[in-house]
Amino acid sequence: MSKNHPLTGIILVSFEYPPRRLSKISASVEKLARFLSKNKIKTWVVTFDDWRSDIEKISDYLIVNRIPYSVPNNISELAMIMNLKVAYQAAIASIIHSEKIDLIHFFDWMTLPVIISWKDEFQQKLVYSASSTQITRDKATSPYNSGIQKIEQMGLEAVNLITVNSKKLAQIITSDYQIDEKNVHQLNIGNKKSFEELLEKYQEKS
Amino acid sequence: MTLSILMLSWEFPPFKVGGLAAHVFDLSKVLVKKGYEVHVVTCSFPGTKEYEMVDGVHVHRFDAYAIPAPEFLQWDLNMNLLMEIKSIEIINKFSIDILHAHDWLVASAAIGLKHLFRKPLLATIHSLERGRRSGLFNDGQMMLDQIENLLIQESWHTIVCSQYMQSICHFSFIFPNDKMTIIPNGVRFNDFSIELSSKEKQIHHKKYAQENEQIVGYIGRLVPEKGVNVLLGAVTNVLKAKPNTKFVIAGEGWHRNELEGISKELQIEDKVLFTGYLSEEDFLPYFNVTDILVVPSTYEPFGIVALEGMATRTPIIVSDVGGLSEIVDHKWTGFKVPPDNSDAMAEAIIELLENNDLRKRIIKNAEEKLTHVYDWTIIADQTIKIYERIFDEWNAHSWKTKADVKKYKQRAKKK
Repeated sequence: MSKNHPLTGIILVSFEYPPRRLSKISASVEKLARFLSKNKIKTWVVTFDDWRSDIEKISDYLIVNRIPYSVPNNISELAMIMNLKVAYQAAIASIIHSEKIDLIHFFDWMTLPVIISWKDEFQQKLVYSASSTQITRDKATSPYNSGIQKIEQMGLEAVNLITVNSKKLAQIITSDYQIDEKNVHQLNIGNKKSFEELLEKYQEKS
Repeated sequence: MTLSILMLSWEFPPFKVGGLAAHVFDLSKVLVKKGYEVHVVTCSFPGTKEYEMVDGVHVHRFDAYAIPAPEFLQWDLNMNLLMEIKSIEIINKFSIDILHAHDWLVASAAIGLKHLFRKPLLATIHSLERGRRSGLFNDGQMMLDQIENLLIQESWHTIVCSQYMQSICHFSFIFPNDKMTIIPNGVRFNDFSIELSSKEKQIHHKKYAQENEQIVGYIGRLVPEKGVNVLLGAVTNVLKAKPNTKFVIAGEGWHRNELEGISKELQIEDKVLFTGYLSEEDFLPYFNVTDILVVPSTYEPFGIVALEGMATRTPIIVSDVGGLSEIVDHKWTGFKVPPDNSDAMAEAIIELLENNDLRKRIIKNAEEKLTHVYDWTIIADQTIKIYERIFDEWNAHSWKTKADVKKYKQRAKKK
């Protein structure tokens, strides 16, 4: 692992982070955060938890910001995601206005509204990790699903790099969402080898 | 000091749903006359331009339907994302000093912009969900209530249209009174005070009533909180005393069928006319031929229709609720009756129909109050004071982007 990497600050934005676990993403993001911080990259995790809101300093290089849950009654999951957007934004803005941040890595579609709205304002490289798409989660044709697909489309088009955990998902993203395959990288984020590979991808110029 | 303002409003003429569009437009026009640069970001509408300058106001529109949605609330949340993108484009192109958000419908975009650009955010709260439906009964309503609360909490300062609204925000959201300013709505007095010739009056009167009938009118949305059922409940009693009276209900809404049902049930259909929406050309003449305008709302954060009545020299009877209580001084600028009380409403209508002198006095007093309190120039001046105050507070504060620190230092040097 290169110790002379040029990265000084990274924000990881995730809908789940321990102790909140909805899928493997939670543990993967935590391991990645610890890996980055051990490599002396100041890492901010901006995440959501439905029962707590705090800023927790784990070490000098790792800070976890659990956003407030100001709108807890929602008419749908998509409404919840849209209402959480402002809390993610407030947290991210407070970091990027005061810290040197080179890259922001978003996990899963729940974080996409932030990318879409601020895509042209971010000075940082933007990375997005997809573990599924709405097309694979729910095949039914409905305005609700079409809305999420459109959000995915806009988000996928806005980022510099997309990591996916399977070849099949890479195909869906390049064919159904018409994303340039050079922006899509297959990588199962979860172990040290994958973190090292990801770090190399982080360091590549966009 | 002149500042540039970005107004966020989901509706703007020619797209009008409630009174918000007219409020934003009327305020913006006067601000422009006073030297302010005003940009409005709003939803597109078939036939409207993406950008146009209307009476000096920069109007920017975007495709609000680009993200599909199954229903209105979800549509609004999706729309906010698109409004935020458009607003970023505007802020980067024009030098915006203050963000001014109107109601929960634009909260998400406004709050996002506030954090991104670290600009002072002013919110005008025109009404609240807990009042519109007399309580919160489902997730959709609770969500709106929480969004309204969030917008107020996130704003540098909040404008409310009445003392009633201030007290609701204060007690419901535990929000400090010194972070709110009451600025009432206004009315374009010159536009509304046009008097028809007697011949024109005759023509328009015929559209609604017999020549010998006096008209008691209602105009507005036909939704439960507007209390049209209370007016219908007063009809029989009024007709006993004043048989030559016609009740003309102008406007549309999902409650219309039920109201027409009540009218049938009470066997007053031949004395009650539901006109539906009035066209632009019928709008002002309707006021001119109306002898008494009734505003029977059970919830009304302000009640701009009362001002429109006053401006058209139509005596008004209002429910003693919300902002209406503050607009009307009983038996001086209008009549106030207890809400949801058809008997009291009937008594007031009869008294006013029978007493010409009282009607004339009320019209004169109402006109005087309008020019001193509800004129848009006065309201714009009050708004400007808020803009300047929050801008000065923000300017003295360190909470701003590095680019703005530089920009406002240079601006201060130039002065």
